[in-house]
Amino acid sequence: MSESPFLRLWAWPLLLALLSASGLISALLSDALGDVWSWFSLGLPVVVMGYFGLRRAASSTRASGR
Amino acid sequence: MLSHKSLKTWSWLHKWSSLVSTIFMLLLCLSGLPLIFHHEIGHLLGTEIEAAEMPADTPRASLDQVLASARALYPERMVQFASTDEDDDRLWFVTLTHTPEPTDDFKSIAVDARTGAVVGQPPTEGGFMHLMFRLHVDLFAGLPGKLFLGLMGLLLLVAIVSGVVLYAPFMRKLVFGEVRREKSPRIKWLDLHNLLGITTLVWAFVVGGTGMINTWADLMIKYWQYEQLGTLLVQYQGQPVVAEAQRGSLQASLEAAQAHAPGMKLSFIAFPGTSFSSPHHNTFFLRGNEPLTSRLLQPVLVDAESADVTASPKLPWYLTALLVSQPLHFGDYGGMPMKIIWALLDIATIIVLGSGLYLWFKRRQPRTLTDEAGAVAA
Repeated sequence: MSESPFLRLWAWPLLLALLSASGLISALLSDALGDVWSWFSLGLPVVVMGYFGLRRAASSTRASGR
Repeated sequence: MLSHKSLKTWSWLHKWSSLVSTIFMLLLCLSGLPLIFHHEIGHLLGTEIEAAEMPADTPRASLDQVLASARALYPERMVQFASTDEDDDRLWFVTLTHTPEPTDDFKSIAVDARTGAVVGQPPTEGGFMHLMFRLHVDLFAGLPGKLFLGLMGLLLLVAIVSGVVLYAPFMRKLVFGEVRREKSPRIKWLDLHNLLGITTLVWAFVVGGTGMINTWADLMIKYWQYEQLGTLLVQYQGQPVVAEAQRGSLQASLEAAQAHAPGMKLSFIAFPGTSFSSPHHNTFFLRGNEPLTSRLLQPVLVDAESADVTASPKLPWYLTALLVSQPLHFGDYGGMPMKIIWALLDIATIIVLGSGLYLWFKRRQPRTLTDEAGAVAA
C-alpha cells in the first residue's frame, strides 16, 4: 500500500464502507445474484471484526500450547 | 486534520449524543435481535398459521365470503384491513376493530382463501414477541413513544458521524485492526470500540436512519391523506363514511382494482374511513413483481358504493422512501444468510455501545483517555 497517511488510515474503512453499501443495495435490486453479493459484502465486515477482535484468543492458545 | 479545539468539540458531540441515546439503543438492539427472526420464531412457537395443502388450481372463495366468515366471529366489530401474505396468498388476514381509527384493540383473523372458512386467530397481544415488538417500536407509548425513539435514532446518527471524525486522531499511529491488548483494559476496549465502530459504520447508519424514518410512518400517512387524497377527492367532500349497508361487493371492487393495474399483486385493502383510505373508498394497495417494485405500493381507490375505480394516484416520494426504508431496517430481503449477518452486526453494535459506556465510566483514571491513547490532534 502507498505511503500516503490518508490511505494508511482510511483505505480499509473506505473499502468496508463501500462493500457494505453495495451489499445493502444489491439485495434490494436483484434476487439471486444480488442476494449472494450481499452475503459476501456484508459478511466480510463481520469476518474482519472476528479476525481482529478475537486474534489474541488464538495467539494465547498457541502460547499456552508451547 | 483536526485542530486541538475541533477535536474537543467533536469529542463533546460524540460523548453527549451517545450518552443520551445509549440506553435506548441497547434496548433497541436487544429487542430487535429476536425480531429479525420473528417468522422463524413464530413457526417454532406454533403461533404462525399455516394454510392447508390443496391442489394449486383450487378456485378462490369470493372476498365477500371471506369477510363474512371473519366478521361472524366478532359481529360487533368492523373491518379495517384485509391482506394476504407476501409469499403465500392462500390465506387472508382480516383486521377487526371497534373503530376506523388506529387502535391497539384489534383482532386478526386468518381465513382460507379457497374455502372462505376461518383458519385461526394469530395472537395479537401478550407473549414474548409482542413485548419485544412494542419495546422496539413505541415503548408502549403510541405515537409519542415512536417519535421519541426516532429522536434517539437521530442522536445515534450524530454519534456515528462524530465517531468517524474521532477515528482519525485515535488511529493515526496504529494500523487497521490493531488492538493494544498489552496496555490497560481501557486501551484494549478503546481499540475494539474503534474497530467495531468503523467496520459496522455503514450498516449501523443505514439501520439507524431507516429506523428513524419508520418512526414517522404514521405522520407521513396522515399527511398523504390530507395532501394527496384530500385534493383528489374534493367531489366527496363533506360526505360521511359510507355505511356498511350501502357498500357494494368487495369481490367486484377487487376485480375492478386489478383490471386497472394488470399484472400487479394485492398487498392489502384499507376499508372506508381507516387511516390508509378515504371515508368513501376501499383502497387497494397493489405491488409489483420485481425485487424492488414488490416493495413499492400502488394505491387504487375504488368507490365503496359503486365498486368503480375513482383514482389511482402515484405514491408520493415520502411514502416511497418509507417503503424502501423498511427492508433496509428489517434485513428481511436477502434470505436467511442476510438475517444471520444482520444479527451478527447487531451484536457488534451492542459491543460498540457497551464498550462506549465502559470508556465513559473509566474516562479519567488516572489520566484522560485521549492522553493515554496517544490521540494525535493535528
